Amino acid sequence: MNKRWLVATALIAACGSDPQVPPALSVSAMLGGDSTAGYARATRPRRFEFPRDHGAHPRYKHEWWYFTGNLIAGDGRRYGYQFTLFRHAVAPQPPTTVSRWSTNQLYLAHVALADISAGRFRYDERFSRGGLGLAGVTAQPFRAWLEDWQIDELPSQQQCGQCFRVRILASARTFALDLSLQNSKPPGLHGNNGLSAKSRTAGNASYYYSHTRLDTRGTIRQGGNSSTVRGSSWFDHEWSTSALEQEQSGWDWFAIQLEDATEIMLYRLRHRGDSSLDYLYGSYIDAEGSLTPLDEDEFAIRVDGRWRSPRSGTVYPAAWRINLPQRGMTLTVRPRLADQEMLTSFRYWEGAVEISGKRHGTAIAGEGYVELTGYASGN
Amino acid sequence: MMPFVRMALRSLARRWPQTILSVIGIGLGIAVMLAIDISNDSARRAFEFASEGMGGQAEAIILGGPRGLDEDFYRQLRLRHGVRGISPVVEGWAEESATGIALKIVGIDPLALSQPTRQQDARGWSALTELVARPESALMTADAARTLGIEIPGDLELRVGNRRARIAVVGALPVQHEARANALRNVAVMDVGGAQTLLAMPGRLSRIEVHDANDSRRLTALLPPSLRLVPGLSQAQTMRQMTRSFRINLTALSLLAVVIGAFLVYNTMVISVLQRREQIATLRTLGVTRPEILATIMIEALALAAAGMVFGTLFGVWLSHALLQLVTRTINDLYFSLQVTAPAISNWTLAKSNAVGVLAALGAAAAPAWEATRVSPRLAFCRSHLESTTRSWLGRWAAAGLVVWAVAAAILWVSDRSIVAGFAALFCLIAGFALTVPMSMVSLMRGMRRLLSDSPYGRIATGGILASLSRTHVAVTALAVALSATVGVGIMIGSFRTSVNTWLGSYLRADIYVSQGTGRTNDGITPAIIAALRKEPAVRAVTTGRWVRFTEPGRILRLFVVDVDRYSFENFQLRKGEVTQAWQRFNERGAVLVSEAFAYHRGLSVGDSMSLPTRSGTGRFEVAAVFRDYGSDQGTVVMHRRHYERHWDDPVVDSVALYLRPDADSQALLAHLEPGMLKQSGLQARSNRALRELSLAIFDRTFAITGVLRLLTVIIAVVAIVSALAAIQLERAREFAMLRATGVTRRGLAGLLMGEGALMGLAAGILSLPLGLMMSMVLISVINRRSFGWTIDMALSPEHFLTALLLSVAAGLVAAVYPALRMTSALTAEGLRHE
Repeated sequence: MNKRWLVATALIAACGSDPQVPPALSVSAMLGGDSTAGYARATRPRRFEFPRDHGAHPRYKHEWWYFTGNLIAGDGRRYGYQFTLFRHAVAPQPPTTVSRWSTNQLYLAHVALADISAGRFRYDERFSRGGLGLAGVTAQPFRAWLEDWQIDELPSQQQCGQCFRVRILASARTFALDLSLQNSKPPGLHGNNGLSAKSRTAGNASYYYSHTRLDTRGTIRQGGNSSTVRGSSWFDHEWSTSALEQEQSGWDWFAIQLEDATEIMLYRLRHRGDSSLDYLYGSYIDAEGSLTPLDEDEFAIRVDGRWRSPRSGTVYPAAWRINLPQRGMTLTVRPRLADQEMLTSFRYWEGAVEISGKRHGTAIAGEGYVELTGYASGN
Repeated sequence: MMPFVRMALRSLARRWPQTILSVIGIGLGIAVMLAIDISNDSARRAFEFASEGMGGQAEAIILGGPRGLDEDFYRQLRLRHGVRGISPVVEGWAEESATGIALKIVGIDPLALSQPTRQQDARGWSALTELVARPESALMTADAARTLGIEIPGDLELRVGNRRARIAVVGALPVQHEARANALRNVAVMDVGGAQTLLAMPGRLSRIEVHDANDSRRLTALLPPSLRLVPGLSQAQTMRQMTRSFRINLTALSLLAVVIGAFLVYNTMVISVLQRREQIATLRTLGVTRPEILATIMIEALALAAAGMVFGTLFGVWLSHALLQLVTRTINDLYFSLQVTAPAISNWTLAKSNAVGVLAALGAAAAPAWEATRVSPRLAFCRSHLESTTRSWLGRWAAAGLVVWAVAAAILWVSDRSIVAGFAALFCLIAGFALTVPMSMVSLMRGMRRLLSDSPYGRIATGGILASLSRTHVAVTALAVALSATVGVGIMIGSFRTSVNTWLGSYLRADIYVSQGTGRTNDGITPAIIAALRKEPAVRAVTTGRWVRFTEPGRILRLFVVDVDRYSFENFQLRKGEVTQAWQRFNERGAVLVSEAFAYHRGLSVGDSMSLPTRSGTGRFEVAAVFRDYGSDQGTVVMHRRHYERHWDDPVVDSVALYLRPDADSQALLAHLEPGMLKQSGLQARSNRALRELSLAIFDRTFAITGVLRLLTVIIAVVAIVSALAAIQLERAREFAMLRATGVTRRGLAGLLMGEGALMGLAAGILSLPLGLMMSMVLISVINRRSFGWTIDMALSPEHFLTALLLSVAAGLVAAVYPALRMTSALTAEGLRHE
C-alpha cells in the first residue's frame, strides 16, 4: 500500500476488474460533447498559419499531435512507430493561483514500436500536466514535450512557413526512439480548408491538417541493441472541442502512402447501431502535395478479416479492401503485425499496415498506418 | 488417568476459596499482560496505517531545508534526467473556522505516479482532472467530512495563519480499513497547486518521494548540496523506533504482573501439596506411583491455569480498552498525533499472553509437585521433618539469591545500552531477592520475638509464623516482591517529577510564551507582530524560537533555534561543559548545545562535532555543552539564530518568549494581547505558570498508565497473601482449638490471628524497602538512562516507604479476617477430636 494505492483508489473510483486488462476509458467519453460550454468550437473554416498553428490551441478542449511511420533498418528489419501527444483541457480557463502547478491543460503521451521482423509490439504511456512546464507545446520554435519525451524543431537554414523538420526523442520502458523527420510537401488541410466535419450535422468538426510524407532517419534502441533506420512518417495535427456524437462509437482511420508519391487519408466514423449511417470522409494528396477532398460516395471500405486480441478479447477488423472507383484504384490493406493493440488508459489499435493493389490495372504498393478506436467492450 | 483428573478437581473444589483466589491471581497476571499487549499493538497498527495512508512507504525521500525545496528541481529531474518514479508532496496545516479542528493539507500530483493501466473509466478520469483543474478542490474521507459537519460535495472555511480560505470537498477518499480511516481523519488531499496556493508556498515542495529503487540510486549523484536523499524508512518505522523504549517499558511492567501472578500460583500449589502430604503418603503406600502423583498435581495446576486463562482473557480485553486510552494519550502527548479508537485483538496476542500465563503456572507448580513425590511416605506423615527440611534449605536459597544478584550485576556490566538487558537485570534482582527473603524473614521474626517477648500472644504469633515457615515464606515473599515494585516505581516517578519540575523552573523563565496555534503557517510569526510585541510597555525583552525538524533514517532530529542573550542562556542547565566557555562557543563560533538524551543516543560529548544538513551541504557543528532536557526522548539540538540563518537562510520565527518588567502583570498583558493582536494572527499565548502546569499535567498523564499497572500488581499481591494466610490459618485448626481449650478467649484467638497476619505483612513490608530502593536505582540509572538517555536525580520521600509498610500491614490484616471469623466460631471439641 503506498501512494499508488492512494491515487489509484482515491481518484479512480471504479475498481475491481482484472488488473492486466483494465476496462478502457471510453473514447466517446473523452471526446464526447458534455460540458463544452466556454470552449472555442471548430465551426467555420479558419486561416491556417504555419508555424503558428503547429503549436497548441488551449481554448479548444482536445488536441493531438500524431506521428506514425514505417521504417526499415540497414539489415532489412522492418519497424512501425507511433508517438502521440494528447492535450486535454479540463476547464475552459486556466485557474488563477499563485502556483505554477495549477493548470487546466493535461497531457497524455503514447509511444509504440512494432518490431515487425521480431513479431513484437511494445508501447508506453505517460500522463502529465501543462503546469510547471512538465508538458506542453510551443509553435516557435516548434516544441512538444511530456517530461523527457520530446519533439524539437531542428534548426533550419532558411525561414519557411511550410518547412517542418523535427526530432523525436522518446525513451520508453523497453525501447527508445531518436528520429529526425523532414517534410517534402506542404501541410495538407483536410475537409473544407482544414475544417474537418465529423458527422453530417454541422458543429461536430475539428481543425485538421497533415504532413503526409516526412522523410525519416534515426535510430531505434531496444535493450542494448540499436538499429539505424530510415523510412517515411505521417504527421497529423487536429484540435476540436466536440468531435464525436453520442451515436458514434469510434472510428477507423487510414493513412496510406503509395509508392508513386501520392497519399490517401480516409476515415469512417462508425454509427452505434446502423452502419449505413457511418460517416466517411477522406483526402487525396498528389505527388506535388495538392490535396483533394474525397466525399463518401467516392470510396468504399470493406472489412475483409477480423482479429481477436488474446490480451483483451476485443475483436478488431484486420484486413480491408478499399475501392476508389473514380481514381481507378483498388487497394488491399493488411496489418504488418496482427497485435498492435494499445492497452493504454483508453484502448485502441494503431498499427503499421502494408498496401497492395491496382491503379488502372497496374500493380501498386504502399504502406501506412491504421487506427481503430471504439472496439473495446464497454465503449 | 481419569481418577487422577477427578482427584485433582475434587481437591480444588474442596479448597474452593483458595482455588478462586488463585484463579483470580493468575487471571489478573494474564489480563495485565494481555491488556498491555493489545494496547501496544493497537497503537502500533494505528500509526502504521497513519503513515501508509499518506504514502509513507516511499523508497526514499528528498528533503530540503526547513522551508522545503524548490519545485524547479523536481521539474529538472523529470525533464532533464527522465527520473519518473518520483512524486511531489506539499504539506501543511490549516484550521477549520467553525470547529477549530486542525486539518492536515496534503498536496500531491495525482498524475505523477498514476499507473496508466489504472485509469479506469470516465468517472475516474474526471475525478482525477477535477483536483488539478480546480485548485481549491480537495478530497477527504467520509468520516473526516462528518467530523467537520459537512456533506460531500461541500465547502470548508479554513484559517491558515491569519488568512481565510475556502476549499471545496469534491469527493470522498475511500478507505477499506477503520484504522486507516482514523489516520486520514484530519487530512484533506489536494493537488500540489491547490496546496501551494492554500498554504502560501508558491514554488516550494515539502519533499519529493522516490518510489523506485533504481531512481533512488541515480538521484544521489544528481542532488545539489542543499538537498538530501534519505531512505524512505516508512513513517511507521520511525514512529515505531521513536516509541520503542516506551513500549518496552510497558511490556516489562506487564511481565512483572505475570511474575507476581506466578508467585501466587506457586504459593497455592505449595500449600495445596503441603496440606496433602499425608494423603499423598497414604496413596504412595497404597501403590500409587510417583509419576501418577506428579500428574495429579500438574493436572490441578493446569485446571487452575485454564480457569485463570478464561478469566484473564475476558478481564484483559476489557482492561485493554482503558489502557489503550492511556497509551494513546501518552503517545499523543510525547511523540506524535495518533488516533486509535478500538483495540486490535489478534489471536497471536491472545495466544502469547495465555501461553506465558500457563507456563508460569505450570512452572510454579513443578517444584512443589516434584517435592511431594520425592519424599518417602514415612517422612511425609511427619510435619516436623518438612519444616526442618525447609529451614535447612534457607541458607542454600540465600546463597543462590546472591549468585542471581551477581548475574544481574554481570548483565549490567556487560550490556552497554540494551534496554532489554536492563530489564533482564532488574528481573534477576527481583528473583535473587525472592530467594533471600526466607532467610531474612527468619531473622526478622526472631528479632520481633525478642521485642515481643513480654507478651505471650507475641511469642505464640512469631512462633507460629516460624513454625510453619514452609508455608509462610512463600506468602511473605510474594507480598514483599509486589510491594517493592510499588516502592521502586514510586520512587522513580517521584524523582522524575522532581527533576522535571526543577528543569521547568530553570528552563521556563520568560513570563509569556507566544506560539502558533493549530493553523500553523510556513511564514511563522511575522516580523511586524514581533516588533509590536517589543513595543508593549510591559515587555522588557523578547527572544524568538524556531523549531526545525530534520528527518533522518528511522528518527527525527529536532533543532531549536534561539536568539538568546547571555542572561537567558543560563536557562539551559548544563550537565557537561562550563557556562562561560559554552556561551562563548555558542554565541561566537556557532557551536550547538545538545540535550542529554541526544548526547546519549549519539554518543556525543563536549568538544565533539555533529553534522546537520545545511543549504550548502552537510555542516559540522561543535558541541558546546550538554544540557538537561526532558522535553523529548529523541533529544534536542540548540543553535543560535545568527548562525542558523547563515547556514539555512530561514528567517522564520514560530515562537516568541516575552520577559516582562519587574512591575508588570503578566495576566493583564495576556488579557490585553490575546483577544486582539494574537487572535487575529492565529497565535496563542501562555503564561509561564500555565505552561509549567501544562507540562506537569502531561507528565502526570504519561505516568497514569504506570500507576494503573502498579495498582494491579498490588492487587495481585494482596490476593496472594490473603490466599496464603487463609490456607495456613485454616490448617492450624487443631492448634487453635488447643489454645481455646487452655482458656484463650475467642477475642484473644481472633487477636492472635490478626496479629500474626499483621506481623507477616509487616515483615513483607520491611523486606520490600531495600529491594524497592534497589529497583528504583536500577529504574532511574539503568532503565531510564538506556531508554530515554536522560539522567534523573534521585529524590527519596518517606511517603513511598510508609505507604509500603501501611499497605503491607493492611494486607496482612485483611488476610487474617476470614480465618479469624472461621476459627473463633469453630467448636473446640471438633477441633480437638483430631488430637
